Amino acid sequence: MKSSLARRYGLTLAVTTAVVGCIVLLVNLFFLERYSEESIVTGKHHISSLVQAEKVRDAELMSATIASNLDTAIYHYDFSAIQELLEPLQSEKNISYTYIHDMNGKIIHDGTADILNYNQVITELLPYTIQDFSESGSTLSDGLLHVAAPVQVGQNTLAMLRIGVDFREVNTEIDQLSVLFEQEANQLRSSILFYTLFAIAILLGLTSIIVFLFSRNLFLPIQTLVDRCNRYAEGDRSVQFHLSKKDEFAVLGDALQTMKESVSASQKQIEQLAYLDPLTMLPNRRMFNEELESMIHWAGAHQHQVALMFIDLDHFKQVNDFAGHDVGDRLLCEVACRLSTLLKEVVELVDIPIPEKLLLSRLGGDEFVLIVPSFTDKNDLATIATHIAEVLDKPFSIMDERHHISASIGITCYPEKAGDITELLKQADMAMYAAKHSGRKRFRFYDSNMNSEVLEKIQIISGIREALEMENNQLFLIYQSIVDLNNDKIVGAEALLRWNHPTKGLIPQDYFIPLIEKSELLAPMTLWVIENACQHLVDTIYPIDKRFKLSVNISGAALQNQKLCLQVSEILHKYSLPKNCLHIEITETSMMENIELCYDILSDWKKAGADIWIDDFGTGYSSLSYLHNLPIDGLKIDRSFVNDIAHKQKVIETIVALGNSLKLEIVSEGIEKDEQKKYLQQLGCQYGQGYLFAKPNKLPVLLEKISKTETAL
Amino acid sequence: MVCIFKTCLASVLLSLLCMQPVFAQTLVIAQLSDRPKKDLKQLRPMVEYAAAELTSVGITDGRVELFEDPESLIAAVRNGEVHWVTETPYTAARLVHEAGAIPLLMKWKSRQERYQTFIYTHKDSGINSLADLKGQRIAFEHDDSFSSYFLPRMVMEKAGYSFNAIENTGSELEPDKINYVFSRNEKNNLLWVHKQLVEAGALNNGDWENRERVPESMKSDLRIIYKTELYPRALELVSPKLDPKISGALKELLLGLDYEEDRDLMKRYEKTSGFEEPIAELPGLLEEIYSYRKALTE
Repeated sequence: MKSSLARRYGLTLAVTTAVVGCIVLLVNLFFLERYSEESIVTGKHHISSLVQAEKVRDAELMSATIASNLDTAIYHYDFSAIQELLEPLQSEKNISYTYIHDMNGKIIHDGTADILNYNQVITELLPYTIQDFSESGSTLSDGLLHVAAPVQVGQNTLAMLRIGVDFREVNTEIDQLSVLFEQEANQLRSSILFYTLFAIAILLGLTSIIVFLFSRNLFLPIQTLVDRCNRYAEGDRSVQFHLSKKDEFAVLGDALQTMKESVSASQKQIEQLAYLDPLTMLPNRRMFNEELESMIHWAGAHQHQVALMFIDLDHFKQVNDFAGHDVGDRLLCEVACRLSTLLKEVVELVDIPIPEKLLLSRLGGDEFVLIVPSFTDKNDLATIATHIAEVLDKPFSIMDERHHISASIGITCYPEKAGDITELLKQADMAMYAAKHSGRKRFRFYDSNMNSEVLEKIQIISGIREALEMENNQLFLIYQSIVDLNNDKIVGAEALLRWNHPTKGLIPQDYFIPLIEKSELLAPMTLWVIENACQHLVDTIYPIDKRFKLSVNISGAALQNQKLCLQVSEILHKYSLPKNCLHIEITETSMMENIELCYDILSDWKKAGADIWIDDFGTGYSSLSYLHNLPIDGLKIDRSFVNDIAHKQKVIETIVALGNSLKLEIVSEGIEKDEQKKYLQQLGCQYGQGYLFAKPNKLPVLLEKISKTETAL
Repeated sequence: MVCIFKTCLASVLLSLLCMQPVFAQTLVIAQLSDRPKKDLKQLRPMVEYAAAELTSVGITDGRVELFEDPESLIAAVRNGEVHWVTETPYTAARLVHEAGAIPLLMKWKSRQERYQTFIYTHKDSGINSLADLKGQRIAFEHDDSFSSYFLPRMVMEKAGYSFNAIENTGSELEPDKINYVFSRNEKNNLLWVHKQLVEAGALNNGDWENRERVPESMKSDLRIIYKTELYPRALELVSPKLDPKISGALKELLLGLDYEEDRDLMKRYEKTSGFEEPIAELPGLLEEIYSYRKALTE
């Protein structure tokens, strides 16, 4: 990191320190220079004054000292002694003259061996003028210091000692001293400069090191946090961002820790979204795929078997449509919960070596898949499937309402049936499909025949769709008459759908109608039946019998379709059909599937103009109290009771009594024999339907029969 | 002195007691001295040399003894504490007469075998003879000086002049006498005459001829008006107590010294340039000196 914060901070601090240091240094140097210059000037002046003063004092002192010793020698004219006393002066280079004169100004001695100036007058010899011979002290003139000292005996002045000190040499000396002083001052200045620079350099160096260490130390936590961030980014989830030192970086660390935890939580959530179904929190399709993949891989390597159970809820769509998606979702959650609980219990009952690998997942909608790894016995799979079917068959209580569903389970095995996920899933789906069609609350093991079975069903559905769209008369209605048991008059007929396949001929209704009921063709097919039946009624039957009633079977899913109800109303309106001419026959089961909404649904159909009859009454799950409250117009006694009339008399009697007491019309189905007819007639049953009167016939046959009975009556 | 005497006495007694003809002996040289350090330095090398050379006569080592006053020296020579003295004719005269010292050799100093005294004046003084000095001032060096006091005064007094001592050059003068004042040294002596503080001065020929002492420039202003006879420059004397064998060997040794070969030794020995046998006139000269001194002191 070339431009790291620490580096920049350290550099800025170091540069600032250096700049400030340099400014301080420059200011110091400036003042040092000025101080040095002024010191030199002042110093020179002081040196000059001092040296001069000292020289003057020395000269005066020397003169006075010599003069004080000269008294005896002068008194005795002891020239040799005088010369000896003057000897120190003679040896001095800078003494330009030495004179001793008496008080008349006559020279006594001039310092030379032969006293050449003896007896001369001092004034002639002195290079400066004196006022009188006794004048003492010092005078500076023409580069010479003239010093005069009296030679005294007691109070009397005997003679005067006069010496001339060459001050040019003193001046030279002063100059030399000044130069020396300047040199020393300059040396001192250079020395100060050097040491200052040295000290500054050392200080700068030390400061730089301190700044570097300080910066590094200061930003170490950031580096630590960066390293941890990098580690975290590389996938190390154990990284902690808390710092031991409690400072701003620790706060940052705490914030990062919080962020990490938040990110981790989000990630976990994302992982859950990726691998778990958000509604049921069961593994989703993705996880299922990955797990199954690895399971297959593992099982393939270890010669184990893996089973796949495809669980599809029956009638879930109705719950969703009737009770709404919220209830549907809660139901799914409950299903997931029941299944999860069940699996924990069921592993105790079966032999699965690795029960922890048992994986339940939701693929979407009402489809659940269970992976059973490493099973040894198919009976165990059957046990599990049975338990699942049972547990889901129990009613669900959601929002204070009970809902019934069941489960159809398809089972397939790896490697016995298939070797890859797609194929396994397809097989399980087919097995489930087969189970569903074999009745609710069933499970089926996949076998290879199921392939053609399913294909056939798909072909049927597409054939019906084609027939419906093309209107090529493959689909048609037949009618079974409903007669008044009292006079055998045909009062109505039940319209029944038939399909004449162009190649396969007449397809059994039990085969293709359930397929329609489970498909999206239900609504259009229902409309098609009602439309055609109404058209027949208006066009062909009404001209013969204006009171004729037409019955049409409406499956549970169609019943709950409000849009369909409106469309039916429109058809009735379109053909201007009177009220009660159209009966819709519904089963008890379809009615009871959504008992809370049933009243409203049936009321809607009533408003649409249809009478409501309950078909196959007595076979389903009936509640007499509902029967009482619902807008029902009639009951159709199931043919199974009539067929077994010897044993079901009580039931038939009860139904008839019930119908009568609720003022409901009653039709008995499946009357084939006259005794049956008579018995029912005796009981008070109004209407009958069965082979005794007529088989289901095409419209012309019905019309003919109606004409006959009309004319007979 | 008493101590030295006692020591010597004890040593003599000891020598007598031992009765040995030749025995270990220290050769002692002595001199009058007011500058002991200088004189010691001048005498020691010679006495040590002599002692080393005279082992054959029983001398084992040499020693210098200096005396502040002549009387002590005289006594020491007389009783044999001092064996060897080197002195001026003036002191030699006293030693010979008062201590019985025997003049061994005459010594030449500074290449001067004899010396004499010059009486000189400034050319402008108008004094041309000793007679002109009457009532005038003459400067002598000091009262111990042989050449610049004793000798000229002796000569002049013998010639009939009388002297009057004056304190300084400014003192009152006796008109009939030669007024003399001590100049303390030859330098003042010369300058006083040259600067005409006095009319005449007295210097020995050695100083006069020494250009350092009397520069030519000054000499040209001066005039010699009288010269005395020549006198020995210095004398080597021995104690009467000294074994003649030793004194003889010493004499032999000193005479044997060559100025060319033994220059260093000789020069250090008071700038000695040679030795000679005492001349025949020596006793007379010493007698003359001694008797004048006696008269003068009396």
